[in-house]
Amino acid sequence: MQGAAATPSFLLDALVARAPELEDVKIVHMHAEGPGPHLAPEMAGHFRHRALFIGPNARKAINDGRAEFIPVFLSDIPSLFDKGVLPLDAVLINVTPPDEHGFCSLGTSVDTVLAAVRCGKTIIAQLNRSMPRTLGDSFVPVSMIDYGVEVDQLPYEHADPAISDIERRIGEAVAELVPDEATLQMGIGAIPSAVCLYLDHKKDLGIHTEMFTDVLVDLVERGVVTCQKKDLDCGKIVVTFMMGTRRLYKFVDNNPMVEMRQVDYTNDTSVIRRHRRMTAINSAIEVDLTGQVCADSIGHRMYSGVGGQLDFVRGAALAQEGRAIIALPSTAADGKVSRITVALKEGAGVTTTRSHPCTIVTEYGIAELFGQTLRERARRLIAIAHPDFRDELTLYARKVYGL
Amino acid sequence: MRIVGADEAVSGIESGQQIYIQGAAATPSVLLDALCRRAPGLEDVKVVHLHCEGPHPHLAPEMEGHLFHRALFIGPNARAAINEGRAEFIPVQLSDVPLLMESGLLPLDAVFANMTPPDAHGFCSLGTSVESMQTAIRCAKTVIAQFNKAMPRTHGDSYVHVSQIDLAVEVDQPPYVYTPGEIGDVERRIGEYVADLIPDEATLQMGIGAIPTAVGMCLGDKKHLGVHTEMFTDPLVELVEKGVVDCSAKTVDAHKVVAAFMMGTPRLYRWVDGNPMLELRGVDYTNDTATIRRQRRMTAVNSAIEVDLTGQVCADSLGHRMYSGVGGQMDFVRGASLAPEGRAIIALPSTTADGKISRITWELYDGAGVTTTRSSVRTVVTEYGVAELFGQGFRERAKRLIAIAHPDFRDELTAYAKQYHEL
Repeated sequence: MQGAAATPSFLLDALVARAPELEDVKIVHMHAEGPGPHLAPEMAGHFRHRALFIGPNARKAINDGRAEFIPVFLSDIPSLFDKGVLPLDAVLINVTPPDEHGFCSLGTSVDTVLAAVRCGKTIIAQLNRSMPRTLGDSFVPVSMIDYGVEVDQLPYEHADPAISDIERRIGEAVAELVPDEATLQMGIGAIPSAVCLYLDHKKDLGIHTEMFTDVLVDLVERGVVTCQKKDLDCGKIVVTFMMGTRRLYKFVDNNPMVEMRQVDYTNDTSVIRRHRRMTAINSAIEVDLTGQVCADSIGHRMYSGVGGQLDFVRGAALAQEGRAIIALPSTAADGKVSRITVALKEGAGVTTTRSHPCTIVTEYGIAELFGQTLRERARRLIAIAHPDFRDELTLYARKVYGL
Repeated sequence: MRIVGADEAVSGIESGQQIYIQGAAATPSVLLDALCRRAPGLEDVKVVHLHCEGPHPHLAPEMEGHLFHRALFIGPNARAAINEGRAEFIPVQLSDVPLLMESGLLPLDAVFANMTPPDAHGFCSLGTSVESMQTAIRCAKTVIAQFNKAMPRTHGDSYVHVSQIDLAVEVDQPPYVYTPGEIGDVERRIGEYVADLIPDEATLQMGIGAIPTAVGMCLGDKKHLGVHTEMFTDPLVELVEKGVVDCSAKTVDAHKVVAAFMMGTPRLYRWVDGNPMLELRGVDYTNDTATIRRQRRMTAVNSAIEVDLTGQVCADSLGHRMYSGVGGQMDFVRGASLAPEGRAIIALPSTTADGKISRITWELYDGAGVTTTRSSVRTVVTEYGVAELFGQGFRERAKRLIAIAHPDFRDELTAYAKQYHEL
């Protein structure tokens, strides 16, 4: 099922209405917006969600064992379909009605859908008059579609979250690390939004990212993002899906500046590394004192997924003058828990390893870890931990790393 | 360039400087010994290298305060110093070491190299270890070399012109020898399972030790294998001599064995000497995923200390205790996974040698480092079989990994998996 803002909710509702007569139908997607009717407890036995990335509405089902998580890079999902590891009987999509050449645009989510459409036995589409017509590698010929349902429904909207003081300080620190002519990858949320607040004086930024958002549109409209200095796809904003408000969807509609590509292109390290000054900005749940980054789980509890983090971290580190940034608040749970930790929580997953060159940023500053010893890493990470936790972390680091 | 005695060669080293030392079999021990003789007069000289063979006098406790080892990969002889805090580990992918030097994050005052004496054109070969040496020589302020008559002359990106060298010491000392240990039944069975996964015309990456040796022994009936690896070893030479490895089907560097360094017996060093079939390249080429993924049927075989039930692979540490390093594992795992018909294999015995501890664990030891993440891991092999993890959920991963765990531990692992993964 196509995901994010493009979640085909008419088809999903129709499928859920058939639940009583179905057993063990697997519904595979990344995060899907909307109420998630297929994830309700009473659907157990009828539907089983297999998550390639865990959206907020799927967390409970995953952690209750009614759904399951498949750890996979976003960039590898097309090959999961192509190689038959994840066989697809049907694909539910949400596309524009066919144009005069017989092509439907995948709209707000191209991500892995082209591969799914190629591999699925039956293709069922919402032909949606309100889906923006995005350009790029976003077109499916109507001849590939078996069933079409006519609908008129805007893609799901996702408003920008409020930005706190802490996020503002992180944003300011990150923005200082972004040079003119850099190409950006960012996700969605308060930290990326805060970063964008501080980019106004930059020149000729570019975008090559997984997810396109409202704050990036702001940067285009303010003339900060031009993409004119990109070494690859010059002049184009390259993305694989988007989440935002009506304004974003209006901006992308038929806009030749926005080039949608499948994830096996956008998230491919060998593509990413060809951008000079590629700057990847990603977040984390916790970082241990050696620099291991956990972004997908809170101990044994699954939280999100790996998405494109490692691909972008690696690609940016390998790019000429590139940089991989992991930005996170120093604490969680109202300041009660340090996100800079002596060891990752029991059961936590490592998303980015300690051998991947990274710059870690909190509201207390910047820690460069590339080429640093375990002892020096501990010292630099403690310096950007919340002051309330520094003594505790230092005691531990003394014991283990001889700080 | 001046030819000098060993003591004079190191006489310019000053307190606080940082030296890079060519590693593995090529460890320049005449220069290293001379440095250690000078050590009492020096303070805080940083000695940077991958793993170094030989008696390693610079790692002795009495060198504390004088010489300080910074390890980019931890050899067996450096473990005690690292874990006692007399030396330090830098977690870094081997492929990134040249970048570390070029970016100035690892500034080098001097480099100690071990190479063939200059040929008629003035070129010396870096012999058994090219690794990051070309970059080190380009970046270091002073280049000090052993001109070693007993160093094999290897081909590839292995040549340094004599004009790049400041001081040289003439020596005649063969590279260090590594003899693989005995292969037990466990390794033999792992070797058979791994070999079953290797198709004809595959290009191999393997490390050193009992498992790669066992894999090599089971490949006798394969055809047109290739080699693109970090470390070249005796079992691979044997496959070349048997006609199994001819590199004819490689899609990059056809007909060439490509490696960054080697470790083995005199037979290996004789085979590589002047042999145009061998192409030594820097680690930023051999270990680059962009290079690796271009080899059709690229098959990477790597080992691990433990694997948890979600597929997280730890290869560098025993909990908080550092054991080795990350080397090229992640680059080869990723490169092989992305290659057409490629495959990344993590092969390990199901238990520690005494059978007391399962290497398939419900979670990694406290403090353990993840070398290959659970979204990168593909195929895991033990003496009990093969677990394919790509595209599998946690529940299925746990089920498949328990099936290849040692039978003595399966109940315990299952009880745990029931609790966390609803097995």
